[in-house]
Amino acid sequence: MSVTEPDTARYALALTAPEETRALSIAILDDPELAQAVWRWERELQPLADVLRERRPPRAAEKALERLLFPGSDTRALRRARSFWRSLAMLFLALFLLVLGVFMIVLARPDLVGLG
Amino acid sequence: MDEAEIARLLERVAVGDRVAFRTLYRRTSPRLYAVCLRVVHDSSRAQSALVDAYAKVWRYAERFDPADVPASTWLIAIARHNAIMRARNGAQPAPQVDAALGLAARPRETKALARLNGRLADCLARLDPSEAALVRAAYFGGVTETGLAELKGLDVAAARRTLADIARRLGACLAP
Repeated sequence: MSVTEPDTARYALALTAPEETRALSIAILDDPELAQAVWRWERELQPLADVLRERRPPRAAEKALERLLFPGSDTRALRRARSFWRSLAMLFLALFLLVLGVFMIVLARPDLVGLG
Repeated sequence: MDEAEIARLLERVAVGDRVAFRTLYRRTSPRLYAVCLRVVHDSSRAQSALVDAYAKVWRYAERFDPADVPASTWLIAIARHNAIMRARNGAQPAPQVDAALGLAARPRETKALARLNGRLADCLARLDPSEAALVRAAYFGGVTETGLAELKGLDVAAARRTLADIARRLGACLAP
């Protein structure tokens, strides 16, 4: 397709019709000169975006993005699960040490529990 | 945004670095979300547009070349075009030029425009005020050639010539 300077401006200003936008998007990939012209317009017009006040997106957006791109790797859920199993392991270890301690005492001083 | 830092993050994202991607999101999403909100005027749709834009960033980061374009320009272009396409494909009514030309009446917009300075501000000031408003509205997807044609009672080709002429004069002014 033959692309002119006004076409690249129309593309950067989002004035092109959907079919033309698609065609230009493909043409840009194959034509570095055309891409440069579009990027020049994007750079020149960017101050219009730069003056917008930044807004932190809701946390839900990041969660949706994580689910979309990395399904099954919800790091927070993984951290929660890891923390649960670590706590359970610690509890069993404490119980085991307690039982072991009692057992050692019984072995050492059976008279204390009326076995001597 | 520190351009060099964002560019470094994008280079790491290009090789599939999820930690870099999450850092990139945290650093840049407030700015991109503001752009999406400005285009679609609705929090829920802006969130969807933002998610879609970052999915594209993840998929196409390898195409980013800092020699071609600053990192922030690349990100903003993806978010803005993506939000505009979503706004036009969705149930939202077609953007109306008359609404777009009423931009200056909105206090938030007026404050934002007051912060605009530099070469672009100078070049917009050289256009007729209604033409400058058209450019500002078009940038955020508020103007289509069809919409302008309907408003002015022109055919689409004439509306295209009008907008191309504005773009030509703006481009001539912006040329280095």
